Amino acid sequence: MARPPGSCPRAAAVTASGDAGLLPQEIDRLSRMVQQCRALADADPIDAPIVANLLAYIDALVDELVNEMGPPR
Amino acid sequence: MSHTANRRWERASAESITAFATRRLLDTIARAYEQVPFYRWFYTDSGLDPTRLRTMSDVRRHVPFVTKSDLLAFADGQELGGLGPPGIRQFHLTSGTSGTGREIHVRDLRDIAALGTGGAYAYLWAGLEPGQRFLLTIPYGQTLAGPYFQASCQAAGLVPVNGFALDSEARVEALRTYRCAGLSATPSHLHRLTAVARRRGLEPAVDLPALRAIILSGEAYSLQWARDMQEFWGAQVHEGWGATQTLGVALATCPLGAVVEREGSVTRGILHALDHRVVIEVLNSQGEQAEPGGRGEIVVSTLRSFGMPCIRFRMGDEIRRDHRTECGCGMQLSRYEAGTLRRIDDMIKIRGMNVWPQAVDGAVLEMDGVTDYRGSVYTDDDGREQVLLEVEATAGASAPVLADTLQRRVKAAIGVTPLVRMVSPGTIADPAEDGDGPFKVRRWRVRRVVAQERQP
Repeated sequence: MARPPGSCPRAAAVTASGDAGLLPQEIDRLSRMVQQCRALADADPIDAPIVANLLAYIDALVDELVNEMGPPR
Repeated sequence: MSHTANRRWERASAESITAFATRRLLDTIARAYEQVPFYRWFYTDSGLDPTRLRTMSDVRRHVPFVTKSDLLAFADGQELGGLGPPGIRQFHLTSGTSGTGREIHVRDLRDIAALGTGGAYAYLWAGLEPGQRFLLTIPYGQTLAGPYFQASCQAAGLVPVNGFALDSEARVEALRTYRCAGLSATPSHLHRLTAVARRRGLEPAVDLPALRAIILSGEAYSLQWARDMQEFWGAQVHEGWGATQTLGVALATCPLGAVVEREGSVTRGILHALDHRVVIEVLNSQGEQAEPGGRGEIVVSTLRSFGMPCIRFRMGDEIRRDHRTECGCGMQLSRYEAGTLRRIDDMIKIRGMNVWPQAVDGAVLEMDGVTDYRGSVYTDDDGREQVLLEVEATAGASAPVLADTLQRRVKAAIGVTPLVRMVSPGTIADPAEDGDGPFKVRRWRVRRVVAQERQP
């Protein structure tokens, strides 16, 4: 399955920038789960738009979640 | 009952909130210029270079206001936003309250993810808790309202009771049957539900023991009326304000509610802006930022809208900034007076005086037995400007006594003695039961001879 363009930018950015330590474990766990799902989808490229849609929605939810977490303290 | 929605923002300092909102607003403006055709056109036309903006002051000095007319002129009946079909997940029409046309706002997945967050603040600050049931009365159509209320219940963990398609009698019954802890309604509709409940002999303290919060939206209301509602329903009255352009609630009363009684005094409560989601400005009649205690038009800039952000959008709604130096709740989110929100274009000139329909609402709707009313201004056969109120009251109310009392109360409120005609129960339709129409009440019509088109 082709990866949707721009998918999960927030989760990746959070992890890559090292900011994850500022966020609760739940976000970190969610980010890793999303990455695992994406890896599975990429490894088995079946036509599964529902997976792409769900991953994109999770990306959007993570973005909303991070906004609600506010500025780093 | 914690009354907490998100301690991060409830405990944030004013400085950190402003710094965060400024960064987000600059990002939003830059993104809108790059991705949304309206803003590309609008900012190019006005000579704005978003890359030169650095501070909130820069934004206020250089970024032009957007009006509904600008959006409608650009869109010309088409959808607003820069999304192609693959990115669109929903579209929402504005309610049509202004009567000048309906905007079509497109939403992407990020908007859908953000749709309910603002409303969740209103519900959780009102003391509602996950798992509790919440009666929704505002129609579910192609406006934002329906999806927004579903999403906000989900974000707060509430269980929606979908009263959209029920009439007023059935909604009152649903409160009891489903043991609702909360209710969302316009002030007008709550007034009608109250009349129904009273007629049925409902005693909320006995019959609705779970009810603890009523969330008002969409219209102004008087302090006394809100106190009466609290007393009758035995539930704290709260308020939320938002619009299609703000992607849901942008202002919500804090845990102290819409009516604050402390040390023998009673004052209006405080609406706090969700400053990390929407930047609110209040422009006075000189076009300057209103001072605390001053009234003015709400201007919004959304920080969590992606399909169609609204940046420095003039809402056509007016509100009063709170005059107090702080709120008893301790939050540093910006403050506005609950119950003072009204449409700017609602103002009517009557015999040369500026009259706000909300002043008449207070005088009429605070009367026991009155269900609703409609007002009109017209020119009589002698050329005099007259005000006619058609008033609907519950069966059993004494029409002559009520009409006489209403005349005196309205005269005291606006300085004009109206003609009062009592109409029978059920004569005036309830807009909250019309799934296709605007649910906010437009009570007044102006039919002056000088305002009518002349026939050739």
